Amino acid sequence: MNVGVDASPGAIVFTDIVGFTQFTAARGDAEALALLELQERLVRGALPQDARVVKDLGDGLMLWIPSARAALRTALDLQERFGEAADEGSPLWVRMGMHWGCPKRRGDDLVGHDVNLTARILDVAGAGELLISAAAARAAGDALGAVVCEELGPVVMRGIPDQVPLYRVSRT
Amino acid sequence: MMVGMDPSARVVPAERTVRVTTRSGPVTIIGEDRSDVLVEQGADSVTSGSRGVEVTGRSGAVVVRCPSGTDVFAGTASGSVTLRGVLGSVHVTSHSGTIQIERVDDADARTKSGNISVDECAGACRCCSKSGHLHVGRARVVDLMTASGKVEADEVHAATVRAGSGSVTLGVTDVDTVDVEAHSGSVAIAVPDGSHPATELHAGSGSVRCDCIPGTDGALRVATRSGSISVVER
Repeated sequence: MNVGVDASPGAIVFTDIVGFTQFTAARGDAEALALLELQERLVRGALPQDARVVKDLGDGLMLWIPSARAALRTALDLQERFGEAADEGSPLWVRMGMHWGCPKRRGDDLVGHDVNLTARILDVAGAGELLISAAAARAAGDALGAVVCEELGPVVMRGIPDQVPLYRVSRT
Repeated sequence: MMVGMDPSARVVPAERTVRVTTRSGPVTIIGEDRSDVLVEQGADSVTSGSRGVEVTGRSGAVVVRCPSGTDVFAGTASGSVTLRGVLGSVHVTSHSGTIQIERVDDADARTKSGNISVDECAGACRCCSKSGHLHVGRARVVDLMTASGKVEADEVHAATVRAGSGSVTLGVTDVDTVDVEAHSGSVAIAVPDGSHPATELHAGSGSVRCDCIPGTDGALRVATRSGSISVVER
């Protein structure tokens, strides 16, 4: 197992289906499973070649994308695809959090502060939203010029000592 | 210094923006008729620069008074956040505290488990909670998201709502576009008497009641998986 080795810098992206517990309770396990599979199919279809799904998180996914620009583009593409799926009747209310960092590898998994921070960023996002850290914004550079980027301000997160500036990013 | 004021109180020149962060303890920011920023209580540090006035607290109550119309960014992990008076564009995040906003131009408020209440928002009002209840008194446009909390908006022109299991109650004035999705909660919308919006109402297994005659006065789109839908005139 590849333990404790630094991964190259890259973008960590978490996705999460909002209201999945309520959806499962209302519609049953078979429809819930179909929703999870739809999310994974859309994600895998949108990932750049050098990116990967790190792990399944139950009702969400953890992604690794080596390029910040590609990560931003992918996340925004996914936001549109999830929205289209929702319009067609599948309630894929997916929120996403993105951070740029250098986590440790543990086999195929990634661990460390940057991963924990990304999970906390996801916590702040609402259905259909993409929130990114200032580090991710800096790494994406002028790619942010083509999108709507709204500052949410310094966010204080449990377990994270420093306040974290966050941005809400969308194409419209 | 005013009599009875916290000895650590500080006054700095007003800036367009005030940023307040603290890990725990309630935050109160008051927009009022004044020309400076008074950090009345609880500040660990106060700085002023190109990003505006930045106030950092550690724990305990933080109270800041600023000119009406000031833009605000406020963040706390577990304390409540209260914005009183008249403020500009505000962004508030709290992990578990409640958020109360009195009167602002635009609002973005988000908390994981606390409730959010916005009395009056002249422009766009976005509220996001995982399990807390959301209440908006009056706003032009609302974007409300909660997984299990209840959603209420008294007077809005346009609304986008995504709710998991909580009920949704909207009072719509001059119907623009109202788009509501809910898993299991019921949705009740009141529209002005005599309005004729275009309607798309789909309740998976719940009942649908619509008192309006369909027309072209804006659009109502509501979809629930199992909750009932009612659209009534008021």
